[in-house]
Amino acid sequence: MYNFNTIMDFFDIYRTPSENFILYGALISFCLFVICVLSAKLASGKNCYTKLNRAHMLIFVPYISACLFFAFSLGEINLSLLPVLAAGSFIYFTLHYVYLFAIVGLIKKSISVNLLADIAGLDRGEKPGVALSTFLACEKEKLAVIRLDRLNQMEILNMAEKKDDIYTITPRGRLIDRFGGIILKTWNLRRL
Amino acid sequence: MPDTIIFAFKFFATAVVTHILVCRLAPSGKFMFNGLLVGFFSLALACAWEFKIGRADFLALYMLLTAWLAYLMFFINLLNSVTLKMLERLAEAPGGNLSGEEFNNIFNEESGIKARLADMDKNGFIKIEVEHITLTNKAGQFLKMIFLARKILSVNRAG
Repeated sequence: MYNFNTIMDFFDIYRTPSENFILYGALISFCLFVICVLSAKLASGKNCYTKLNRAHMLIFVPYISACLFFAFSLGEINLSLLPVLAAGSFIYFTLHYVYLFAIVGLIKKSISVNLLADIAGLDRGEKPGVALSTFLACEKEKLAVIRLDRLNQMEILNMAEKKDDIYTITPRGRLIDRFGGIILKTWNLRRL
Repeated sequence: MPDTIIFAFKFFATAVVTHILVCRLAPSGKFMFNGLLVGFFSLALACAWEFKIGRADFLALYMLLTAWLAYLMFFINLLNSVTLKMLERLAEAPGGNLSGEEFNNIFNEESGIKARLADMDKNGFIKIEVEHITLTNKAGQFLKMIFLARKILSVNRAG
């Protein structure tokens, strides 16, 4: 059913050299992005998402430029390249935001994961374990920091305005909340 | 290439409609489990279809798989995001106003931590007995992977 004469035939499954360049270029660009993240330790410290987004664009723009230049040099610039560029952008975008972003979110931002890690930090391996009251006392301050961070995020994203310690929802915030409510209702879901 | 995108889109759209029907007609509270099951069957069907028509379009399968994972992640964030929960409370409040202190009362350790601890107990990550918490082996294994990932990505500070 499949007739691959060589290994290259197996990978060369799209019509033109430009298509192959765009698609494999997306994979290579993502590998470069990961090398950049690891070597510059972009996932560490504050505002890691901002740093990752900046690095994402710093590699994406040259990638797209290289794709267009390659297609142009081969005389393959035409409208049929648009879906291929969309596919290449999709690959690069999703490798970052669906896979790597999810990992960073889990290991750094997840409240539940951080709670587990904190329990492990307090656990001396002796029975009967970590006292709940001690643990809650330690976490109270961290929770206050998270609460303040999320309130600040609401302001930064223009979902709420703050005046004299009173938060007021903005029209944008109402729209986002309403949209979220419609989605949850359609899927018959409820936030706990 | 348009065929690839259309192929992936058709299977994705069918999976979304199926998932909505499952959520509405058979609500079991197991949203993620249903989501993973529908996604798995959709991907399996797509692979079978490709085999049947004699093509090996891995890009279409990648698009379908990734779009489905992105779809599930969207719902995880929609359901669990603290920011969106705060926004919901703000929208429900009279005049759309809440003070910082009122937020502190709503999102306190009772709602923030105890609920999550109860969840972790239910899912077998911890045991809460006589007001003490112990980690299970499952949690130990899970945390090993987390700490390794933190080391690789140089994440020395959570939050």
